[in-house]
Amino acid sequence: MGLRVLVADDSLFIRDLIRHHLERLGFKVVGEAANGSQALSLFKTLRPDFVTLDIIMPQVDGIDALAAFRGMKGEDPEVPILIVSAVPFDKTRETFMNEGALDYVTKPFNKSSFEGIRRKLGALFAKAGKNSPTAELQPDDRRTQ
Amino acid sequence: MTVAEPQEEFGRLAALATTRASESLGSLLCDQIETKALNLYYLDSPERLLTRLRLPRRLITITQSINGREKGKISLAMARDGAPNLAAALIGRHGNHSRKLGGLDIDAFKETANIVTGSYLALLGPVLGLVGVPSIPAVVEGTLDEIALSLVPQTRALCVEAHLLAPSRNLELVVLMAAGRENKLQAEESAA
Repeated sequence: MGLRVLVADDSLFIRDLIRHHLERLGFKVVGEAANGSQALSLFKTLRPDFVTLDIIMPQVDGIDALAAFRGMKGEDPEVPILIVSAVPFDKTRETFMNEGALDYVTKPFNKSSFEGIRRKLGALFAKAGKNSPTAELQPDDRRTQ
Repeated sequence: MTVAEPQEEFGRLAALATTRASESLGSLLCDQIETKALNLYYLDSPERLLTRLRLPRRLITITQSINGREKGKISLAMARDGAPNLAAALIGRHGNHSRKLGGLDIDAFKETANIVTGSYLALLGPVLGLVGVPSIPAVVEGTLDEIALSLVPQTRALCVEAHLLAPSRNLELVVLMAAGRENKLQAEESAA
């Protein structure tokens, strides 16, 4: 069973793309959020193993992406959160990396962007003595290996 | 219209940003994107854009504002007639393309604009003082007369206008980056 993932992005188009790439790499998307407030709420309910978070989303209930990020880290300091964003600035990247983000992927992304993340998660989970995050690959991936 | 040649280094960065935007679009569309034209110019008033910009009669624009040390806007524009074609290419829809655009189509346009904006901001933002986080993209449909003034800051502006082509899909997209003139380039221009 793959890692359980929460995908937070205000764009359905991007959520579909992220889901596509993650599921082909063996992750299981258990929830999708369209804003920071919804992301935080779903995080508390679903307790995912891993989160992808866009940083430009409508602010709802006073919760923007950074507040959602901090809220999730407050609930579970160890949860890996991947920032997926079109914002190209080093300063923005540094802000989230200093807050403890797993990594910062700049849009547009492709399958290889997430393969690197899978490796990073594997190392992280091995260090913590947990099972491999994505034990099963999808059939298409097996054929191409 | 007052048109002065922007600095050579700025032109090089604009060309590089356009190449990156083309690559990003190519990645989204799974296609080769060509740069048909890249124009750099100054506008001494927002209204001048109406005589400068070459766009189809009826268009869709997706615009983001950036409020850093300076104010600026970056827009992605396309002919209204070509929009269903672009939506179909982005979403991977096949067959007859309806002229009507749905929520997912608009959403895909916004994200495409967001990504193109990132390509330009990464290279030109620091030079122009545009280092703030871009606003959520705003989508507008109308004629150039109706839309033009929303594409530029209400000051004199330095503009980068790039025309990108996806020949196999018969698509042309126009990127317009307009930055307020109270920036380094203005100082350099005055000194030149």
